[in-house]
Amino acid sequence: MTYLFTFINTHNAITASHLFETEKLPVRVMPLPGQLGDACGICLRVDADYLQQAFDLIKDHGITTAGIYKIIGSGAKQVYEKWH
Amino acid sequence: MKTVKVEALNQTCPLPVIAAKKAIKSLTPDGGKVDVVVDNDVAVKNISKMANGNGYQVSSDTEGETRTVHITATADMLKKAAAHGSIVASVYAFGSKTLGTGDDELGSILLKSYIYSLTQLDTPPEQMLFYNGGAWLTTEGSDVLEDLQTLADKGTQINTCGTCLDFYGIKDKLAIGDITNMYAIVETLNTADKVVTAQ
Repeated sequence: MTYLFTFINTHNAITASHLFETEKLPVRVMPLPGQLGDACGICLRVDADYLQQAFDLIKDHGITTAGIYKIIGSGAKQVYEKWH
Repeated sequence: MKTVKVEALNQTCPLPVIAAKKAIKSLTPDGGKVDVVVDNDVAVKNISKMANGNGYQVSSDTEGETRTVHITATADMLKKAAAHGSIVASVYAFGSKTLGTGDDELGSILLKSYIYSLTQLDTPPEQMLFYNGGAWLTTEGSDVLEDLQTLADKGTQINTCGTCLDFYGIKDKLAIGDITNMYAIVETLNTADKVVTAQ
């Protein structure tokens, strides 16, 4: 299972990406899916095993997320269920 | 059947490929066989790729330090190759490890996002070319290897400029796809239906 972190702006996304990389937390970047809004944005995918660690890191460093979603399915049939 | 032997020992790429092409051309119009003798695996790979791409039959064998690539091109195959001109539908070229100019951090994250998006296309790129700073993307430690593997699994051909890998000292770190050269890059760009350059 994979989770998607979305952010209020690109700066927060870049800061979070760096933070995860520094903490050796596996993270992958993708564009904001259309169904999650029409804002141009970058979001980060994190495996379920690292979800809590990622969540704590973001909270501890004052990074503002727009939402965290559980990614269900794959390819064009992917849906995003709000987790936080 | 006419057989042409090409000695391409001690020659670095792309010379063996060029010599092989010249020999194949000399088989026109009746067809025949070309045996190319080389001394390294990269040359075997590049010659085989060129031959396969043109629809010729190809095999290779090794004897000590020498490798021989056997190419069979029948009259029919030569005719088809000439008609098709080995056209590639879509090529995506990457000359940098970032997307766009401005802020490198933003450029790096945009590029990751861009390559992920390519994995989501219904029709993935037929070929991806990586040169200069783009060579870092196909080597060990790159953040986009997983996405590139997804694309490779869908049939995308991934090629990285050998000169560039050599320049950055990362030739032995290539983690996905094959090594290519400027002749092959130019030929691919020239015959492609669509070329998209990530800039």
